Amino acid sequence: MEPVLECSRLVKDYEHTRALAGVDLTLYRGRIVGLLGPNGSGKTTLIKLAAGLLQPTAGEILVAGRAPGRETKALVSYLPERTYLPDWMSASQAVEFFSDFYADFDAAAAMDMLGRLAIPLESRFKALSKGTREKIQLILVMSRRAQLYLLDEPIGGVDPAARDYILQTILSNYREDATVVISTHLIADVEQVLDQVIFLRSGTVQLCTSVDEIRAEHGCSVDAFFREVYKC
Amino acid sequence: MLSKLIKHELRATSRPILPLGAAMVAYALLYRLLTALHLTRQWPNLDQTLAGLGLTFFVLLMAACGLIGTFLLVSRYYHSLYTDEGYLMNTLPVTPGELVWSKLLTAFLWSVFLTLSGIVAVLAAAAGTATFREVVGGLADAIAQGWQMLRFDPPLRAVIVSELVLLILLSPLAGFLRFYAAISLGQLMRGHRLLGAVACYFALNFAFSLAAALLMMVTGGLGVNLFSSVAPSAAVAVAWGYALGIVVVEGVVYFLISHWGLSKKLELE
Repeated sequence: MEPVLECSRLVKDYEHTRALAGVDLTLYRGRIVGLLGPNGSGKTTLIKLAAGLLQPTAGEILVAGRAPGRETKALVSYLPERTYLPDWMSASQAVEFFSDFYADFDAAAAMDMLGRLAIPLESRFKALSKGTREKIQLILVMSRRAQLYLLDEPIGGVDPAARDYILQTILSNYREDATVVISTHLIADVEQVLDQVIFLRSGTVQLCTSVDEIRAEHGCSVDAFFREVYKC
Repeated sequence: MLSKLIKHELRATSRPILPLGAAMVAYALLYRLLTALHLTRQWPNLDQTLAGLGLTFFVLLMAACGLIGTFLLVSRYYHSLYTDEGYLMNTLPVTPGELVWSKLLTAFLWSVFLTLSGIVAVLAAAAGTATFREVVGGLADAIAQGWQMLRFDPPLRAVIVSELVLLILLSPLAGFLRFYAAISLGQLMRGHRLLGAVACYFALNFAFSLAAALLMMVTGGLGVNLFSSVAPSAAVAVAWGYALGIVVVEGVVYFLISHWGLSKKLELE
């Protein structure tokens, strides 16, 4: 099976820090992967490199066999940790925007989800709450039939009820041959949907294994195992 | 994809730019109406003062709209590609070249709109006055004289007119690209990106002025010989061709820098 994401000796340096220190990683299709690690472990950097928003210092990162570029951006659906839709835009304009640029965008599915959440379609984003804007972004990202979803802290800033909705949205919308990478600190909340986890520490992959293996070998949940591994 | 990018770029920029054009024309119409009504004719001093103030404000308004429009169009490049919105724009399945072209062509279209709005405003403010008739008459005379100078050599006339049209079209494009290139280079300076962009703008300006001056020194002898040996109209064609060449080289270099910034040096924080 062709990998959807490959990293080979991937290094990323910022001005005074090394965010990724030689990451070797291969992700295959049809998985929901938790990208886990403490603050500063390199989760966001790895996702941004895959999305083509950063350039590697050394090594290589490939999405569906290609370096990040126009072709891979058509395959990747990326949800950043911040609100990135412009203030002047409305939800209906955002749907039109995604329809124009992404051939795999399902506008009907997006409108259906927006309608079920009773999100005002014509209100400008600056008039909406941060939580509502985050839900709109998630709906737009998950309404694509992408090959790789990169979700950076999708449940970080929302209440527990909204977390359930977000996880349900992810589960009910991704294609079975697609891979979903979820970066988060809130392991207990996402654990039930994960097939595989990657533990990052100081820019290196400390562990890449299936959730079932962790439970079988260590006899505990991923959350408990994470706390053990990263105990201060 | 370029047409879609331009469509959304026009939508994004129309809200701040359209009111600038409307403000110029609306003020001009109001100014013309008030001067036509001449409500203060019984108080000559007040009348002259108000007329002077109204005209001064009109000139300031035109200048402000031009400056604000340019600032909005330039800052749009920075905000949509290098801030939070960059997470949206730089993950679209489009090439860096398409992103730069979409911003550039949109900025050009809006600068044409603002220029036309300014012309309409001036015409509206001066319509029917003696000054208006003098200015239009003077302009027509100047064009007729220029045309007369070139009447003996139709091919050269075509060259000069083409050069003039290209200079008018390409100069604003090169001007916007200089801002874009400066913003792109400013991104390389971590922590002081905007300050870096301002410094790079002046550095690029200085570098190209210096290069043009050096080129002028090198080719100066040739120019003197040319000017003394050919008809004045041919010398004008050469001089404008030289200016056009500089604008084209500048534009290409700035475009390549802007493209490189998005394709090889993108580092969204």
